[in-house]
Amino acid sequence: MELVLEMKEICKTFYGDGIVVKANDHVNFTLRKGEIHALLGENGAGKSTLVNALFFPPDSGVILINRKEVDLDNPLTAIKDYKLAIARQDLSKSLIERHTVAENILSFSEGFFLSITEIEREIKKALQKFDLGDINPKAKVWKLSGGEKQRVEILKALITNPDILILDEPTAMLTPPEIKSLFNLLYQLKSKGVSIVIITHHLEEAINFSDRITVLRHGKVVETLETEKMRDHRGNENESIRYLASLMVGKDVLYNLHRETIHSGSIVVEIKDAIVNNDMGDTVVLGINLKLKANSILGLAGISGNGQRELIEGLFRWRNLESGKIIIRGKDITNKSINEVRKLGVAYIPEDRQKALVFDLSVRDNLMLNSYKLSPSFFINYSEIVSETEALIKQYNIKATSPLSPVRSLSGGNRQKVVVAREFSLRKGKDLILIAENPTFGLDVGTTQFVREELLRKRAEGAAILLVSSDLTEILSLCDEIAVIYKGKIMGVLTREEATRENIGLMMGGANLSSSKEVLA
Amino acid sequence: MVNTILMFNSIVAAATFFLLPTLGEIYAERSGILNLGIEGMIIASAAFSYAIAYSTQNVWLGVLFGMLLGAVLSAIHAIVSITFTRTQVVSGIGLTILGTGLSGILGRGVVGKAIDTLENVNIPILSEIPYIGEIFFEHPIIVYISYLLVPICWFILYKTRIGILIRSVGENPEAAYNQGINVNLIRYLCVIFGGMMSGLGGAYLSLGYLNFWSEGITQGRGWIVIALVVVALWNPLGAFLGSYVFGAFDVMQYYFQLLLPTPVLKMAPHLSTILFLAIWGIILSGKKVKSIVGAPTALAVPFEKS
Amino acid sequence: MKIYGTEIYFQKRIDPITGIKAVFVRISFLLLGLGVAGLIFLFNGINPIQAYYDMIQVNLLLIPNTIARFIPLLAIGIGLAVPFKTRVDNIGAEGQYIIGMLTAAGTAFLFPDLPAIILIPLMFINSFILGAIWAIPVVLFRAKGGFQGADVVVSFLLVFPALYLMEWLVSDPWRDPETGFTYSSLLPVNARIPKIPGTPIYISIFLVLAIALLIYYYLFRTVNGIPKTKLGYEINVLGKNPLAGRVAGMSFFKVILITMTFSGGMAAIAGVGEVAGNSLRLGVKSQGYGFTGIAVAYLGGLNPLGIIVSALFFAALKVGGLALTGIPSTVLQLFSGIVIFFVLLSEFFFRFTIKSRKLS
Repeated sequence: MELVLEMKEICKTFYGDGIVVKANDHVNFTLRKGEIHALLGENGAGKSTLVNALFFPPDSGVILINRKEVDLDNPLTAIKDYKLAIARQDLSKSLIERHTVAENILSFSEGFFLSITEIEREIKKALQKFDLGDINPKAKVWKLSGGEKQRVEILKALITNPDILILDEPTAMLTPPEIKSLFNLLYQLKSKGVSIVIITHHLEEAINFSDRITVLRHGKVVETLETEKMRDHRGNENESIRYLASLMVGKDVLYNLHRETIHSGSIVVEIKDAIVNNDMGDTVVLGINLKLKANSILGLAGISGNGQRELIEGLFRWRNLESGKIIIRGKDITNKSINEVRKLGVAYIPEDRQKALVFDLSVRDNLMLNSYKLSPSFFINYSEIVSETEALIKQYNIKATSPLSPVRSLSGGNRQKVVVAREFSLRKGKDLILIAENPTFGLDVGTTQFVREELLRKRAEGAAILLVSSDLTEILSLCDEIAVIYKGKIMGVLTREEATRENIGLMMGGANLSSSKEVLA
Repeated sequence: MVNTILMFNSIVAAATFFLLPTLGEIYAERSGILNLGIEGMIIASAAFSYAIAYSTQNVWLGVLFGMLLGAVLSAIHAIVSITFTRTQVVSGIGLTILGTGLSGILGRGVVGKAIDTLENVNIPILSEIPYIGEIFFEHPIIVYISYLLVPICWFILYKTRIGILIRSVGENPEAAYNQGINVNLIRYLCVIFGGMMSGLGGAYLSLGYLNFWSEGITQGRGWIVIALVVVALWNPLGAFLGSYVFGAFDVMQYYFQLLLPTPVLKMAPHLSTILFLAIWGIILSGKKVKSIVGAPTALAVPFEKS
Repeated sequence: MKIYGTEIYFQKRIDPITGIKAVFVRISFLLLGLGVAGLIFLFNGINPIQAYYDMIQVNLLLIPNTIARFIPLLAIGIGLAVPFKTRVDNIGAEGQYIIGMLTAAGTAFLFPDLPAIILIPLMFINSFILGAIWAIPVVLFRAKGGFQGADVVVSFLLVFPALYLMEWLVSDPWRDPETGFTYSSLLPVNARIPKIPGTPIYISIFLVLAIALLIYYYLFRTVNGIPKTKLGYEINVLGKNPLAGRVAGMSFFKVILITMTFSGGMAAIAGVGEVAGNSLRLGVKSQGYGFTGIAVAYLGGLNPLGIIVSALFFAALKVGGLALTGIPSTVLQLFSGIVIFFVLLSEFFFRFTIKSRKLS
């Protein structure tokens, strides 16, 4: 089988602020004509960096296309001359929200004048051809749902009729039927000779749909294997998943979490009939009721973009509620300030790290973000803060050159440890209310284990915890109760015993509690 | 007795001073770069073009050099903001201060010296239309250039490929970069265009509108341009409307001298701009509105190539 | 950037330059900037070397004048450093300065018979208050969102009403009946700030230095990374990442209200020092300290200690300007603008270095 793409000894290093990261360390990667090649690895393993080397030159290495060496020094060369296309994972770096779908897909326009109607026509044709559903090319991108945006991004890549197609986490925001369509489409393209690289962290997708798998770890290739051979060798899907996971992480990974059975305590937080709008004025939370109890973890599962962010922002008072009430420890805080909510013992680990850390300031500065105001006067209690921050650094094993190092220089895992250390220590025992949004996203295995254990520990100590996560494994292993959100409504609340991957998955896709029970019966 | 035709004619003349730099800054801001140095560029160019016109006895050379100076000054801001990714606000303030300082030096030889400045050119036929003709078509050529620039700027921004590239760069430079668009080049071009337009505005001020040079003749009106870009909603057509409204304010102060004390009149343009900004700011911050109109999303955000 | 087969690019430094090293880098860039100013002089028919030499000479002769200029520049510089740290750019300091002058003169004209020990502090207090009020619109625009640069535009626009107000007062109600020129009458004797006995230095220097050191101690100085006051900490956080500050419960509005009030007040105090010390009467023009102050604050690295040095430097520059006959007063602004750009460039080099690599 011919090799349509060869990447040899690719190296790319990122510098800055006390750290040097070898994102790609002599990586070798090949792509055969007409194959689907899955690229696996943890966050930070170097997958996105590797495919980016096809669009922006790496530090060193050689790239061959159709066995001839090429010089890909800017995206246009790759796209126009060599018929590469990429659908990126981070859509905020790829789609322009304020423009229309048509204005985002400019590959048709040449020359000075712009014929929008022609572009719109081509888009409609392409949507049909690739079975990507019904999207209005005149629609502004910000109005589209997460899944629609993802499909626009995929369309953007496909519309140029590429020979080599790269998809970076294409299924993150798609419902199961949409995922099925996508893979059908990929098989069709495959049969036409298109070669496909798919980056995914859904190991089942890689196992079931790819021809070969390459696993990256810490910037190096661990192994490239033939999928079918591996499947046969390992026996069943679960074993294959375990094998791949161990390749990704370097050791056998079983998140062994010690979970006590505790009776949940009294209701600490109540959200009543909350209605919240997003930044654009659309109503994205349509009357939600939730109760948080002490000594328990309530999970909020759902595909991102279904209103969970706005709900949390409303709960935390970052955003106003259009209507409804929030009651914390008996107090109606619906119109209070963030500061007052904090005083009631509410700790918050936001998904957006920008909201949690000041990168230019030191570890110490970031650790004292909540506690600095505890002293009664205008002055900060110097000795208290010093001892407290040093204790936290020790307790949470935060690896930094000194407490004065800027947080920017810490690794991703250590940065999150700073956030966790600070927020978890806001209050003790029953006084703590914790809201955590995807707290282990992008973290390495060790830190992920650590954070999950901490959550369980705080739960045992009496805290009331709301865990928002798109990681079903995390939700299933940690939560006492699980609420599933879909398009701004709660589809149902399951107890730990009732919850399974299947019924949660169905509810995440729009089925409500009763209908999912029917489906699964 | 108020001669309305003369008054409206003056409004056109005043408005043109606002219009030219506003069109330029719209392009700069649409590409994502905020250039607060407009006042500095205008006043430096006003001095420089007057000085060149005086020494070469050629008004149009003066205009040309005024535009060149505007381009050079804006390039400084561009280099610091784009290549060195420094904060655009401070860089712009520095440019204003620098430009004002430069104006004193450049113009010191020609303070109070009179020269033949741009004459009014009556456009045949059009200037004979009653009322309209005297108001719009009896001006220096630069005014007519400004009439043409409005639809041209609008067309390029909204109906051409380069226009959408500019707007993409200003909305989401990272996405544009990933598509292979040369973000920095587009930003440089837009900023320098803005500088040339400010330079043209300055040259017009000293050579076509006020017809003299002395320190401080802008009276801070360059800052009003920055507000105008917002009032115009970053649209050349809006620039035309806004400039004429502000031009009217500027001219009216002379016509109401008997009704209001002088200092109040002199402050009128500045105070009314602040008022406008307050009202406009309140209207524009409504959430639904923000999604339809508003500043380019990446305005004044430094872009670092990853 | 590619030239002749090599590519020149910027790379983030692994360890950014800070501390003493940073001061040296800043000074070297400052010297570069003076060189560029010299070039501009050259292009305009002025001999730069002679010019700089004359400027230094004048300074050595007129040290009291330098100190007299130093006081207002320091006051404004300190006043600006505080909001600048929260990334609120008060460039209307010139207007607040003028309002300070007007309030001081007004207070003096209203109560000429009060003993100096009451009148002078009263002048300072009134001016601080009105200067602070003149700065409030900036806070409102910043707090209400608005768009990029709204606060900057508003703060600058407010300079002109202040200027025109002064022009009018001096031409009409306050015009000196004795001379008939557009100056106000001399300030009453009780309103004049005394000098340190035996020296030509006004005692207001103590006030300003004291404020500078207090601000340094309470807001800027950190021990083991910890500032002395909560406000100092909040200024740091909000200046670097207002989002994180808000999540922690900080009130951006409260902090910028305090900082801008202080800033407007300090600029006004500078005005009092000027009108009740140096000039003793109002004129139609203003010294332009408000804009120089911006450069003073930046050159000083937004740190009171650095600003003390920087204010001295600019005071020397201003006095030196007296030696440059035939060059208009705007030359000080020329220097200020150049300094600002070179400081910005120097800060770039704290974080980045230039590297080259050969292309195959």
